[in-house]
Amino acid sequence: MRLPTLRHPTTIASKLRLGFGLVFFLIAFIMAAWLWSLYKVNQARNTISNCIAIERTVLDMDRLLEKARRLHGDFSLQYAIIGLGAAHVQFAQPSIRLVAEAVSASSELKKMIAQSRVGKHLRSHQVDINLYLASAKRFADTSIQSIELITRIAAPDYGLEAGFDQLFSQLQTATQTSPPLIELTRKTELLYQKYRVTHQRSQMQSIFNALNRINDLLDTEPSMDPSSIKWAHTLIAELEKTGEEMVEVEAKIKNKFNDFNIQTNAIQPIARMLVAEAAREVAAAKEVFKQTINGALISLALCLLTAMVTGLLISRFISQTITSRIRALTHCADEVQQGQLNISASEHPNDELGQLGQTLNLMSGRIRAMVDQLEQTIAERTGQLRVSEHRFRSIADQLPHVGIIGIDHTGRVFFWNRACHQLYGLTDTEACGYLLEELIVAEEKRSLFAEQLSAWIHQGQAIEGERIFRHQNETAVPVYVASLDLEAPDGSKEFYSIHLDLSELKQAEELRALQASIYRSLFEHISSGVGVLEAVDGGQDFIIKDANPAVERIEGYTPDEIRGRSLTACFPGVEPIGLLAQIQKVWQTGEPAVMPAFCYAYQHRQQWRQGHLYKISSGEVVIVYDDITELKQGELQRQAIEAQLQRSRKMEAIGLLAGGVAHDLNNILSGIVSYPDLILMQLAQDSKLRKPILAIQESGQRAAAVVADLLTVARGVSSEKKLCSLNQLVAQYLNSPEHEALLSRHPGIQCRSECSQQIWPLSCSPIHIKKSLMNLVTNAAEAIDQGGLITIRTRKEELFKDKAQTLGVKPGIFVLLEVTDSGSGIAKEDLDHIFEPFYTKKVMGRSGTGLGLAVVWNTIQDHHGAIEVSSSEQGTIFTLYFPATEQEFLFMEDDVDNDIRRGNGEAVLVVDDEPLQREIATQILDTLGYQSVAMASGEAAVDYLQDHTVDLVLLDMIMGTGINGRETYAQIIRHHPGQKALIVSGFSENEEVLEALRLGVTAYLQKPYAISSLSRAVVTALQSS
Amino acid sequence: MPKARRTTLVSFFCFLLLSSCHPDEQSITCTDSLGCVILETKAPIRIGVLQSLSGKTAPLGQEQLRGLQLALNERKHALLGHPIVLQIEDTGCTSEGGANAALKVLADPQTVAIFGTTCSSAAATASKAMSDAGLTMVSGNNSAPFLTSIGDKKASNWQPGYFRTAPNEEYSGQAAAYFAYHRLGIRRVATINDGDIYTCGLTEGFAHMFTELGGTIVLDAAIDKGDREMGPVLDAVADAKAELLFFPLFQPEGNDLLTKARQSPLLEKTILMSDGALIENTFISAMGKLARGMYFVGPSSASSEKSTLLAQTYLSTFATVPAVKYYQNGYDAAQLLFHAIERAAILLPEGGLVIGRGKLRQTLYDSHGFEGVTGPLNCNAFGDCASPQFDILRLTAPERGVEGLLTNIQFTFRPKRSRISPQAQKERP
Repeated sequence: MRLPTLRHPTTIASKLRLGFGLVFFLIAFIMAAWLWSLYKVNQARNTISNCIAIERTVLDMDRLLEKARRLHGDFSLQYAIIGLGAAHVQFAQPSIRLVAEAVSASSELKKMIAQSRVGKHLRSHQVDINLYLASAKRFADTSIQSIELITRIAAPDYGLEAGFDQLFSQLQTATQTSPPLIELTRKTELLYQKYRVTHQRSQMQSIFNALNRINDLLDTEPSMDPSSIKWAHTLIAELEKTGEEMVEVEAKIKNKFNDFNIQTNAIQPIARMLVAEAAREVAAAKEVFKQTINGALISLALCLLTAMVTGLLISRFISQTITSRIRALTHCADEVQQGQLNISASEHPNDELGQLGQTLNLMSGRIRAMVDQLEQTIAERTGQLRVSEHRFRSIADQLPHVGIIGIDHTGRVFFWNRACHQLYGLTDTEACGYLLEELIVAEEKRSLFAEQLSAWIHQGQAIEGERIFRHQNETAVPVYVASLDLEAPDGSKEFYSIHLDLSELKQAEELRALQASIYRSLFEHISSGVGVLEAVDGGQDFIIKDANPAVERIEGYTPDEIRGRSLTACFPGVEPIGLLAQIQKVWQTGEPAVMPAFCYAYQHRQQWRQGHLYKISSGEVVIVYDDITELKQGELQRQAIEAQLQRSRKMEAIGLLAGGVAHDLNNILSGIVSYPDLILMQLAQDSKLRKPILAIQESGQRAAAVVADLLTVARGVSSEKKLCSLNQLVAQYLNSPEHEALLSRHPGIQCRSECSQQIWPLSCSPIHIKKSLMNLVTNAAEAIDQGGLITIRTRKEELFKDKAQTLGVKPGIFVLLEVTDSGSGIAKEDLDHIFEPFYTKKVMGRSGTGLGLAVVWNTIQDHHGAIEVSSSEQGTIFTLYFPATEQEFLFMEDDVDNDIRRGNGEAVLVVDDEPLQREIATQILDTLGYQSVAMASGEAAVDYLQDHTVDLVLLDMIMGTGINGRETYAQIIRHHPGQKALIVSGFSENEEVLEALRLGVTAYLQKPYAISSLSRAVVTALQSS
Repeated sequence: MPKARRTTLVSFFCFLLLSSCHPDEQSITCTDSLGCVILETKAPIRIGVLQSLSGKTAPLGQEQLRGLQLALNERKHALLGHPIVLQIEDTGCTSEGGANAALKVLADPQTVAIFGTTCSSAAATASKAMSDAGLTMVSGNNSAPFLTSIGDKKASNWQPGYFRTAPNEEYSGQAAAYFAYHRLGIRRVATINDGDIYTCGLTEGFAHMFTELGGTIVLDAAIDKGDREMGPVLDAVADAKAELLFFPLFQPEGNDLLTKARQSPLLEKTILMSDGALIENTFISAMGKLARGMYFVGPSSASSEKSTLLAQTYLSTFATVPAVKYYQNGYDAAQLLFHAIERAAILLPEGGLVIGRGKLRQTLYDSHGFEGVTGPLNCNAFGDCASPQFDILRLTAPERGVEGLLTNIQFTFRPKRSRISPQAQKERP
């Protein structure tokens, strides 16, 4: 790159640049050398002083902390000897002061290390320095906390020890009338003195034990009156509370001292290391300082010599080439300023000063030309202004309905346009020269107006706003007045009052206000909801232009919330129910229409509405309607309650009958169900007796099933509720022998399941849920003639308020079990009776007990659920709603095993008050390989188990007048925790059975039981942990 | 040369001159609100380890270290190409020990996270210091409810950045109370704690559930750590006619109390129950037949294929059987932390790392479905990552040690896991 300014220094700028550049460079160089030397020297000096300061600070801090630790230790040792106050003054306060100084020193140290450039030795121990600083602060906190704790214990007036002493003294006074109590308090005092020496919690516990004994003795002490006893009890409670706090504070104090020891062990090695490192830093910095001073002195001397020679050469060169020519140019400029435009400056040589001379000559010529042009322009502009003035005067005179009145400073009219003539009935000739108030103001208001006019003219307070003036024919003239004051060409002021005619506007406003007031009042106070709808998008949608307060009451939206919004956006449900179409029809035809009662349902809202629609002249559609929801809901609830009441009465009657006989029937059936198993085990496989005995057993089992269903219908499902998965229950039923038997009876039927995986668990009686499902599937199969499909579905659904109310349940999350068949459906007249016991259209006795759907209904009731049935010629759908729970559930194995399990000599105790039952149970157990013992009551069983152990207890729940099965088990586990047991009963599960299960009984077995059921229950119980 | 070009040229040389005055520093911007740890290529990732390594609780801390060691072995002692360096400090299982150990670890600004502690009392002070410094801490052994949440609400010692893979023992005391009331038919109970937040949490949980069920707490006593004389407190238990004594203590206080209780004829029929801190081989072998018949409540042991494999690795690595099973939770804690560091770190082109402290915390809070050997780990807004499940165990064969005890399960209590709503997650306490 070429640098011409350096090779040909012909211009002033080049010469100056070269000269000043050299000067600047020299100054900068000298400054830099000086600063660098200064910087290095300072740096070395700072490093030395910082290192010395750090060394000193570390030593100070270490010394302060050590001294503070010693003082703190002295405080904890001496306060008990010299008193807390003196110990505070002598040890605690100085210790805290020293700690504060140490913390301050530690902060200073941190700043020093952060701000100064310490050497590599200290920087490499940054982590240790951080730890040292943090520990110093922690020591301060711990120190103050421990002093506070000691003060809490030992303060002479309010400390815990003082409080304890005072309370104990009061207790001694309160118990001094009783010798045994005196003895006990003396012993307690000795224990307390021992505690004051040892400070052991166990010693304080001994004091509490002794105080408890005093407490016990107080209630039986005859020598004390009741008020003294009560006072003593209060004192003991306070003593225990104070003692508890004392041991807690003592424990905290011990922790603090342990804390000190840990801190000391952590800090001491670091302090030693920091002092050593700081000393190394000082030595290294001193060496650097010495070298820097020598180098800086030599550099500075060389720079100064060079600068002096160069500076002399530059000043001589600038004086010769620049300064004298600038003085000549300054003289020329003074001449031009004084009006001598013909003067000429020197233009040579052609550098910046030559160019400056040329510029000065050009400027004086151009100023002369501009003066001539300005005079011509002024003459043209004056003519244009005259034409413009004439045009605006004509407009002012001809303006319709806008009167313009010009007045002078005396208030007399000098301008009166044509509109004024029309407004006030006077021509400009009649008006000009008169005072304005005499022309247009009524006599009684003239003085006031004259004052206002005077204020405008003299003080500038313009007359503005609406006014009523007077026509020549004495009629009122309403006008809007505006004022304008202008300066006339001669310099005087002119005042213009502009009157805008308001007569027609006022008449129209009055009429509109009257009409709006009437209709608004009607709109606001009518009890029906009224909405004004404006069609948009060619009538595809409507904008809510207005709504009255009744709409807010009915819909819950304020008029401001919905005003201006789209109808379908605010109320999306209007389209599906056909209301939108109805509104569109009214809008298109203009014919009013009646809105019959309809249910508005969208998202969670279900409301009943009724009203009218009509179109108004401005094109909007008006909707007037009422909320009839409460009326409709009342009707539905009445119907549901009546049906529920009728069904409950029937169930109550059946319950009374069934409950009375079930227990006895089950005991009676025990022989018929259980003995055939024993007989069959002993009969040969080809025996002719096997068939009739099996028939007897099957009859007994069917009778037991009827009794079980009757109990469910009569007493409900009181079994223990477990967390189950509905999908799992459905799967267990589909794999059960009962389902396989059903499919074999109906070969043309297909059964499939569609189970949702997003389902929640439910708390239920799994047996009854499966039984309900079996009954529904059986019903479905029998409703299909030849071939068809049964579908079992499960899913989760949230029921909101309206739907829940219809079903008679609480809103929430439900799991649904749905059984659908493709049968011929249920007749409408039968639908209301299908859940009644023994109501059937089938042949009685062909299948089931006649209680199938009654069991389903009762199961639903006891699970606080609901059931829905819909039927048509294409089939029937039963939907069962169960309340869901969010808890987790355990996987349940389905017990479908009918095999008989044998024992291995385990001891089983049978407890039953019925001789027949004892006989059956012991015979079965003996046959299965167990060693059975029988007892006739719970009390006898408990006595027996005092001296014996058994592997399992088979307990009857209800046993005559003695203790029942649950009470028997509760007494057994006192001596044999975890004793394995089974509960049997002729009743269904009840609260007592559930309580027994909670206590640890393994399982519950319903009477009558088959040998296989008993064998499996016994083996399961024995194998349980 | 035009004036503009000359100005640009001079500016450029000035810039070069000024640039040459400063050393070549790599400029990395940290936008994390809690700050960052910036590691150069191959620089070590520093992890602070706070465990109880002295006294009677040392075996518990030792097993945590071994769990960490197994996790490190699996990762060949490195993360994202950077070696892992541990700073191991002893807490002594005390609150003051925890605070001082935490100070040592926090003094180094390059510390990325903390693995620990063993004892909840140490965690209470250490986690406060850790959280104030913006760090993250994961424990495999702390279980006191006060450290995270009680009743799905923030507990008194909760600190942001604290996590654990050991289950919250809020329900441990409740499980014991439920078993005592319903399965043993007990109605009068005495409790003893040692003032530690862990043992206090257990006795409070027990008392709350037991009184709610209808039982009576006839004595709620305490001892101090280090107490050897248990006579007076056991006299109080006998005077109160307690049917069951619940004493969730550590060694050696638990040993002394059991020994003394067995010598007292008045406590012959009193059932004794303790907790997971004593489910340990050193306790069982020291107490022998004195501990026979005792009940224990503790977290259920993992029995998955993964845990079996880990047990085999443990045996082959250390050539001994573990004193306690909690090394599995320690292993899970270490793996969870390493996984979170890997996800939170930003890899620089030259191989360096930037680890945002806030991002590391957030990554752990967002940990869901992490497959640990103790089961799936899902960290909630309070730092609890494990699913609580507790067993009541009965010691019938002391000669079989912890293995025998863990198989003799009397009762299992699985409470519902707290579910913090997404909104609550967002508005973290």
